[in-house]
Amino acid sequence: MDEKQKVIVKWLENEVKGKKWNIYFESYEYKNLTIYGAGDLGKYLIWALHNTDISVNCVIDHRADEKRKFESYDVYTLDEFLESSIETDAIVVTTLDAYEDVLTTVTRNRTDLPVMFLRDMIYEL
Amino acid sequence: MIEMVRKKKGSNDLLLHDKKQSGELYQWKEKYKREYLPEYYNISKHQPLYKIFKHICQNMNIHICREERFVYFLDYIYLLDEVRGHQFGNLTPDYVSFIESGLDGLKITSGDSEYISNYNDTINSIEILINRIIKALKNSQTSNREKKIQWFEGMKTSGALHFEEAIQRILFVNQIIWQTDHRLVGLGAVDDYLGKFYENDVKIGYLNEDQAENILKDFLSSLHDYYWLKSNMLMGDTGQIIVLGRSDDNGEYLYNKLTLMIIRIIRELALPDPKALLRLNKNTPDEVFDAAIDCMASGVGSPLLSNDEAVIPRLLEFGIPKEDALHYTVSACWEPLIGGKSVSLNNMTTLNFMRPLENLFKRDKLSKIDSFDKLLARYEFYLEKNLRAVKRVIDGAIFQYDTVMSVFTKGCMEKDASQGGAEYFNAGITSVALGNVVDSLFNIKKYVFEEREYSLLDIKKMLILDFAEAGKLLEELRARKKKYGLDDEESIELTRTIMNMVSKYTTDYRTPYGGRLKFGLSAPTYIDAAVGSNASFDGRKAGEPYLVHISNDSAASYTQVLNFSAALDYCENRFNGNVVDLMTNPSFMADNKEKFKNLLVGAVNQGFFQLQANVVSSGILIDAMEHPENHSGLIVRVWGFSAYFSDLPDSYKKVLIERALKNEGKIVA
Repeated sequence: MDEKQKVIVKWLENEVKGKKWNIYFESYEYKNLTIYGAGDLGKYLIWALHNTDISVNCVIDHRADEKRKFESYDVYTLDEFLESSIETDAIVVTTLDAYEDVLTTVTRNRTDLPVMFLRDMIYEL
Repeated sequence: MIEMVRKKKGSNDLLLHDKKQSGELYQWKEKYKREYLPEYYNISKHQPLYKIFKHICQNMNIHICREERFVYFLDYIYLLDEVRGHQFGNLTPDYVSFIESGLDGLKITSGDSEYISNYNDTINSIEILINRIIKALKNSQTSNREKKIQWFEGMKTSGALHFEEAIQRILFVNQIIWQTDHRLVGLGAVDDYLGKFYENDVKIGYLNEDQAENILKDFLSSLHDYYWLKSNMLMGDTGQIIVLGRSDDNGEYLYNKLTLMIIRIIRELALPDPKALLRLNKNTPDEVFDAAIDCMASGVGSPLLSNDEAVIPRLLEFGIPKEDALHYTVSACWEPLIGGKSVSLNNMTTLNFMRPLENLFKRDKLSKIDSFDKLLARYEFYLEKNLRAVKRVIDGAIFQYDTVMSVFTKGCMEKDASQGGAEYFNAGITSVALGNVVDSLFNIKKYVFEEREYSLLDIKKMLILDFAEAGKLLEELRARKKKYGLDDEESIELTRTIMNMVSKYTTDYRTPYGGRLKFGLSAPTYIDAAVGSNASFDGRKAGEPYLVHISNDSAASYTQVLNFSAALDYCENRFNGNVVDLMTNPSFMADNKEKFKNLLVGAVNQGFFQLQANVVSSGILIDAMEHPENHSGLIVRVWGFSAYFSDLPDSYKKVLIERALKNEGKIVA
């Protein structure tokens, strides 16, 4: 199984066991999230948070220039996001190969902003 | 080609050895099976394991050496390495039942179930192999042919009568367990269960001490055969541990001539395999300490020392009955195991103590943390999340239906080992980086909460950017004395606090079969787990190895580290191996054997858990790295085993060299 398949299998296991993403984020007291990655995993996470107390404010994706809307949310590049004044509790990186780069860039520019990685968290639900 | 492969020793071993080193061996074998042994290939892909095992017993090559005292062989082509679930390994099979009663004594004679049928079928397969060996012996020119034939005939129906015969049985069980690809196969308490055979043979004049010593030499040499094939993650990682000495019900120390003989032989043979673990208690006599220290001083890496005064009470607390606790052995490295009765996998995954701290910096709102106590509370929050991931690894393990392991594990009379049939089926995890976390936390406490020189956000930036703009501080951190592993109240207290946290979230956990979870403060993953890690505030750059087990190479004396270890609390479920790892110079050891003994005697009384030592100088290690041809026999201790230095990856060599240099005060720890 490749990395993405492993994540999807674990996600399915979470679903079957009734483990909820919103409960997980509530444990951090995070209510307002930014999703990094306008792909399958980003989409699934947005769906999982629908109708919960956790809101998604926007999406970050390196292809934002090509696609400005994703699941009805505005899409920004990371640079655009960091230059904006969008308030968020944390960025959740759903892209499997981007976490370290995103973390480094965010830390350089907005050190106080938490950056979470879906691949790691999916085992912690 | 097949004859080449099946030759036990010689140049063809080198061919396979090279293939193993380059990672091509499995693919090569599968191709060979498909092309030359299609029936076996089809069976191995489509039949249950007990049927594959039967085919193996019917067809594997029987190799009888003309000169060797014992019959002991593996056939790599017929290695049962089909994976149908999580494999059992890191275990010690039940040698004793087979020695005492032969195959007949292992059969299940009542009950009627598919499992019982498969189990007994497995025993029938073993009998087929025995009969084939007898036939091969009859056709051979091997030394002591009639005696060997008698040994194998006897295996089918009755107990062994003599010392040498009992050893042949150990080797036979051992080769079956290896042949069926159970990795890391322990030998158990060899001195204990062979002692009565030895004493009886000597008493009736069947054997004298010299003969026994020669027999043991051949036994241990046989176990070293196939060293390269048996090695698991690293060359030398074979798990072939012989456990020596023990405590009785009254705290007296039990040992015999075999205990001392085996330690002496390991020293004389100077081979990485097999390894020895010596149990100690308050009443261990001087001659045992002396033998152990001589062996350690020779540089073979054995024995690892295990303190019954610390281990047995923890096993009893955990609920292991006294009779079994008194007879504990260990898994491949150091994890206490009730050998022969247990399929507890004691190394299911690693808890990386640094991950929660990394996650804290990455995921948390650091501005909300305004005290060291709050920081610790947040560390606990992330540790709990990490432990959830650990438990899910264990929950997800579906074990391979394994009637071979069941035959050689006590208690599997109704259910297979994979279904919770054994007497013990707990789970264990190892852990890494606690020392790095403790020292990081102390530094954060100083710089952020006491001296207020930096904020947590400053530190986050430094760690994520790998000290890119903080080279001076990095040097300062590296130069600071490490507190983990020192006899320091604050260091001990913080370490205990974090250990308590782990127990808090794991003692009530149960595996899918109802087993419990244990952890310990040693792990083989101090290099691998650090790959991809961020820098840490103990002065470690991104990706650099974590601390090795319980160690502190800058400690002014070994007493410091041993006192630290003795002051930790291994209660509840914290006993899955807690090894103090020392580096020491051969000349220091040679000049201070008596002092070292006194140190150990004191440490046993104080309650250290376990200890191993590398007795080698930085000069030798550096020269061996540069000129391996001059040091082909150099043995070092890594993880929990002995290995040839030349067989290790450079990353391990570098860690050893750096530690030796620190120990000798040639670089700052």
